[in-house]
Amino acid sequence: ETTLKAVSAFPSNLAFAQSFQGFVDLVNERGKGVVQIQMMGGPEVFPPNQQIDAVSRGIVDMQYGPATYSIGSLPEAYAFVGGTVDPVETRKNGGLDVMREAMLEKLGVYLLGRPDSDIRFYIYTTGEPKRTGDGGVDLSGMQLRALPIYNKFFESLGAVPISVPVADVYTGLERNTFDGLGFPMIGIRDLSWDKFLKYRIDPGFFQGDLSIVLNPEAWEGLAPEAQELLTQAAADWEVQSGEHFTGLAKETEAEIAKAGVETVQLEGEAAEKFLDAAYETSWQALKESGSPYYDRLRETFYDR
Amino acid sequence: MSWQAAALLLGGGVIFLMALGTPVVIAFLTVNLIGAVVFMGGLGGIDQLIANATSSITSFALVPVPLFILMGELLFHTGMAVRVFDALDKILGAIRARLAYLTVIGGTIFATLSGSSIANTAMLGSTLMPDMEKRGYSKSLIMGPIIATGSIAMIIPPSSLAVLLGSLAKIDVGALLLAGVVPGIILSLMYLAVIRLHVWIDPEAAPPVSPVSVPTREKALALLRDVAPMGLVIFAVIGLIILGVASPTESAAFGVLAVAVLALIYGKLRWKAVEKALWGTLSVSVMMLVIILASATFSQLLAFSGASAGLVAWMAGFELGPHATLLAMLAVLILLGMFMDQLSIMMLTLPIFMPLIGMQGIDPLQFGIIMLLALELSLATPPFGLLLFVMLGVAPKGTSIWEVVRACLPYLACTLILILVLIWLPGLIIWQ
Amino acid sequence: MMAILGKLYSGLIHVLAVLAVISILVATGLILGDVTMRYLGLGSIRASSTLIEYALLFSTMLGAPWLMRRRGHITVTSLVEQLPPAGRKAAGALALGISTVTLLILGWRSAMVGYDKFLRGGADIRSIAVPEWIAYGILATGFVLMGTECLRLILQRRFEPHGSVAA
Ligand code: NA
Ligand code: NA
Repeated sequence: ETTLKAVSAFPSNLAFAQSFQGFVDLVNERGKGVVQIQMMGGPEVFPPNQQIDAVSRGIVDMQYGPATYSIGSLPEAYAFVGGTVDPVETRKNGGLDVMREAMLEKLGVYLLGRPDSDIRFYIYTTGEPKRTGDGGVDLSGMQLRALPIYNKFFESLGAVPISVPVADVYTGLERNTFDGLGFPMIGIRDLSWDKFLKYRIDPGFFQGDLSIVLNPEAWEGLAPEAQELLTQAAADWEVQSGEHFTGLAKETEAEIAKAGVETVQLEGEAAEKFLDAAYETSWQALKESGSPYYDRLRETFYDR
Repeated sequence: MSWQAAALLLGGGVIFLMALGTPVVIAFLTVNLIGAVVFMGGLGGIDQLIANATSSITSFALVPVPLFILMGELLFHTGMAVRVFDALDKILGAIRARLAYLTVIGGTIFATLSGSSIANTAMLGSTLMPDMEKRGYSKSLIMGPIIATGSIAMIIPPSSLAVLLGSLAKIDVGALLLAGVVPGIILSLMYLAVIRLHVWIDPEAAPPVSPVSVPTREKALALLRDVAPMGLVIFAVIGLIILGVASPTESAAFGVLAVAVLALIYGKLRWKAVEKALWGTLSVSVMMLVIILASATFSQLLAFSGASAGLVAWMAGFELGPHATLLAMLAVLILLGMFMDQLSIMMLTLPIFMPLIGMQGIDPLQFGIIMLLALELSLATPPFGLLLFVMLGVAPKGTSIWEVVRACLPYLACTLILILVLIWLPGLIIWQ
Repeated sequence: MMAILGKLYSGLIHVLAVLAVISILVATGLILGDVTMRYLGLGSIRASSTLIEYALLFSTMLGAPWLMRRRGHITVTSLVEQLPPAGRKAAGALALGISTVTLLILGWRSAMVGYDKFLRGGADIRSIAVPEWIAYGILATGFVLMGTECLRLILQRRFEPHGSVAA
């Protein structure tokens, strides 16, 4: 029996960390006598953006977290957020293999799977967004808290992306220091931001970028039986966690609607235009990085 | 390695090296180095340690530390602080220990706007310490109130730490923030009482009451000429936050600007004074931030080695009633607080504490406030207490860490008493 | 020759400290500019938050060797002061020896990891992208010079424990 040490990019109480714990439990149950996973902790043991390095150095064997944290070394992570094809399909069409190759080359880690991908990101605002003549939104003059991966998209809508530390967001919204933010549906209530956010722009954009990676030597050192077990567990978990998060997102959507967050619904062509802008900024960024994987990733991850 | 052995190696190592006279930052770095080799393995472990360190202080939340220190140093070296305190002395001349009371009142007001205890203490310390010392206040009557009041910033809303605690523990953030108001005010009142008691026991601790009463006209003039213009500084720091123009983190920069502008108007912005202020700022902020850098990685190592998780799990293994559970948690928090930073403590303990809270039927809000207060204590407990280090940075040469700790003790006791009241009679303090 | 080298070395420590002060001032200026622009609706200085975050690391690590020279790092000296003079000297020598070794190892590894990052060309993506090697380079500079400052004290046989803080 081999024991793999694992870390997660999220504190263990949060929804995403619990999803990973679900995967760990699944492996530990199926893998008795073959392979086990030992959770070492979350951001309290390694800063999230240093965890991938800890895996490639072999200090821990496995990590779960957003691939875009490594976007400075792995521009290919844009294919995760800009992708539209689900994990089951990317296992079949070879997309996962392309990404695996890229992550091994750029980060020195082995990509096992990408659970929790069925996540949409939304723009939430404190004031009502202006509408354009063709039914779209015009966010000019709005300052939105953004992660680097949204910057270009927000700018294309006229908004000014600003960076605000997580801990300062609550007070910033309370005092109107900025006008809104981009965030997934899952977890928006964890920090009680929904108290100040009055509007949510629908449709949601992007896709989850969470991945489970292993140290390549640790992976190679596993018995074939253990490798198979992990691969199967990852594939199964991609489906199970996907369903779980889809359900959770629906629940949250209903909850925040009930709490008074109004939905700004974009329809038909305006919605398509909005989404095009979102997805295209990701692929554009990947293309500009000069990645040799661009064509293969675009083919296997994107089907809009 | 068992968790006890790991804890002994890491915690004991730091204490031993500090006692040997190794600078605090290097004591942490040395133990980090040994710990990285032992627990993470060889050179790779050391490399990881360094990688972790690159993320430790490149954080926007720490910006107010150097900026508030710069503001205080400028106030002091340009002589602006003296004018204000002279005026206040004139106006409040009949009250013994007036500046100590003002520290608590002013600090509490600022706590309703700033969410960072470290920034708050840095501001109060660098502004008040040098001048109060010159006026003949005893060190303990200066440092105790500054640290105590500075640390209230994380109890009274806004508080970044309460927001993170709420989200990690799944406690309603708004309710938790609101629940901090009453304990914060009670603490502040207790601090005022402690000062009163202090000067009653030891009248020498504060300069004497001014023998002649100053005519009202002169008081009004002093207020207008020397205190009122300081409104510009207060507006720059506090007003811009209230107006939503600047975040509490950013407002420190406007405080610096306002002091510089005022000094210019008063004709006190001499190069000599500015130079002294700049070097003083560098010295204090480097000694703080370099310790934060080293101790953040130390906390991570403590978590990775299993030492702290072992302690928490060990405590959770006892089957205790609600009161005893809260007491045991308090003990664990105090113990971890001696060595770890607040955020790491929260991430480490909450996954184990929260189910226990649920099982015992303890009100999560009650627990949340107790946890916040316990974390507040950790800022001032040796050997690793950031507020102690802030104070040492601005205190006159030769001030020892024990002097600072002794000065804080009565105020720490207030917090401890409040926690005990919260454990047994939460209804007195949490109003829902 | 040695005297010139010594002067150059001291000059370096001082110049880095000046740079550290400048980076604090730049951070202040960037915040002022950024908030003002935001208030006037002129947008935001994209680079400012990243530059400010790095200014913290920059000023800390470049100021640390200077603070070491002024022996201003917080030190607990009350326990060693209880020792007889010979014991005090021995404790001071041990503390300085340990410090030198720790700092030089950390400086060496920071430089090696930084070099590796430089060759790989990765970036730390914040509001703007910063080459990853920069943070390691700053750490390496700070650690190595702090180490050489300790070494200097050993060579000058100044073993008396001493800090801004006597405890
Ligand atoms: Na506060
Ligand atoms: Na402490």
